[in-house]
Amino acid sequence: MNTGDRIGGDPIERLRAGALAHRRPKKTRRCPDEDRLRLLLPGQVEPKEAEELLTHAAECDWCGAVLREAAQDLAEPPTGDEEELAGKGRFADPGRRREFVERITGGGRTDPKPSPPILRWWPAWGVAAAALVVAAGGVSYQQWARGPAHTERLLAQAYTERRQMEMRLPGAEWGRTQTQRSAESSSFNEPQALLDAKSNIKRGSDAHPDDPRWLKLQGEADLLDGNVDTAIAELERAHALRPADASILLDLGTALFQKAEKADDPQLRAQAFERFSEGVRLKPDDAALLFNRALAAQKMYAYTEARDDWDAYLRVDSRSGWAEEAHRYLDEVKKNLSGSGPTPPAQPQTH
Amino acid sequence: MTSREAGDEDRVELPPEREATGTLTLEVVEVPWGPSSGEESPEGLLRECADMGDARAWEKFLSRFNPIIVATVARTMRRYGFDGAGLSDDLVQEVYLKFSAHRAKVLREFKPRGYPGAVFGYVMVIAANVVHDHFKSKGGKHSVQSPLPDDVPGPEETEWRLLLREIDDLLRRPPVSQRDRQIFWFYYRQGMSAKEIAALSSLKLTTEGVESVIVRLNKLVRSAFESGKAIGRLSRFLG
Repeated sequence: MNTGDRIGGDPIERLRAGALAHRRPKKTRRCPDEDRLRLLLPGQVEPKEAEELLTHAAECDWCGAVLREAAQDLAEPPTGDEEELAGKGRFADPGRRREFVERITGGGRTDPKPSPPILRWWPAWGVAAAALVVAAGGVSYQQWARGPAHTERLLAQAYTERRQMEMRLPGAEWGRTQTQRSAESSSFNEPQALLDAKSNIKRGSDAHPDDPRWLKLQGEADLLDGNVDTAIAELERAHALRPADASILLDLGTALFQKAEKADDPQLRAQAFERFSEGVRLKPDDAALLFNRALAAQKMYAYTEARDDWDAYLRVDSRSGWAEEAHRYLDEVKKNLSGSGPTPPAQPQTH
Repeated sequence: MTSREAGDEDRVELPPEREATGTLTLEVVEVPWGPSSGEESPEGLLRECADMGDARAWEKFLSRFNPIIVATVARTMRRYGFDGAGLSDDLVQEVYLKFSAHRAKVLREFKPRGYPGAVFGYVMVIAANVVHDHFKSKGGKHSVQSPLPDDVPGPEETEWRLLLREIDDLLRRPPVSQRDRQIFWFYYRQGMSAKEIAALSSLKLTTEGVESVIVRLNKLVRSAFESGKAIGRLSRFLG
């Protein structure tokens, strides 16, 4: 190869090829702390220091690689698989979260503080920046906020704010049971979280009509709206698409139970109990499944099963608002078992 | 990358912090990356958690941030070749302990600077740092340390290094800004994509803005080499 060939090629291509061949990440004494480098991502470094870090990292193969990996790992919202992983983890369970929080806060204040609207004094440039980024397509987190995991939380929040059934929804915190839906019930008095969730579900279902996650969320929303038959149809479909999903079984059992209560249908109650049992077989320590199955058993006058389930429930959650309810139900069950409660009608079969 | 050449007027930039005048406006802020209306802002939640006595705020924090923390822990663990669910739970707990340590010092250090999604990014960075610290303390080998293959075709190293210096000389001259020079090297030397570079909030550019810078500097470099303005060192070395 002569000199002309060597310098005559496209400089950009030679630059790129050389980087692939000769980049050698090696940490030096001049390299900054990697934790500081990563803070460039959320813009948490003062401008002067940021300038120094960026200049160094642009030319240092080690720090450049640290930033490249951080940008790959930390700039994207959770994937579906990661949301699923989070749903199976230790902190997905509200009871265990509460216990952990009590440990780190020393059992601090738990009374709800009024949530102020997002109405704050913001520097003018902050508002402009947000608007610009919306226009420019900085929507990763918006996508996340519209995704199934966040929508599930919105539904759980709506449930807690206006709890209208004794059964639990996945991930929902305890809330006081309110009276039946009024005749004037309309979108005007629906919790905002429910309206937001419905809007997400509409968007998600339109884009992915056969996605069991969106079908499940649609079923939950219909359940919260009192449209039990529609909810059952959607949840049956979600269950058919994802038969080993315990949270779909939880919702399906709940929808069947709600219909059973409305129609006073013991067969439907038994079906609901069966769905909860399938869920418990998949996730034996799932607090919501244990709670709902215990309640279904109790309403079926299957007091021995109900007692065992309430006991099992209280082993996984002994301190939440749900646990207080579980204690009350368990007391009733014990009275009935000891003969001091009201005489139940003939017990239907539970298979 | 977009094929069109984009000048400064095409860039989508966030206003630099130093240009903030301190003018205040009362606005109902619809935060695009964060909560739905009716839900508390993530910045507000962090402030509430900084009061370590507020257990309810902490429960909300765990409920809201757990998916992104778990995702970050899992992704960072994979960098060390690990994928164990049990270890992941322990590390997630370590992350929460980090947030609550020293009366939530880490949360108190968060500065809202107007970057969209900054709270989520901050939580993810702290979570990643906890995992890196964990593996470093155990002597774990990070993928950054893995050697590159030796047989990648390319110019000789000495020639490449001269080319780097030649181009850098060009990029240090006006009208190229320091930031644009950084972007060029992140792209061509460090192998970052435009999207990855735009993820560095401190650069205050969107992906399109980064692409625009790269297209412009590409043209500058090629044109300088074509006109022979930028081959001094290479000529001396090779000739």
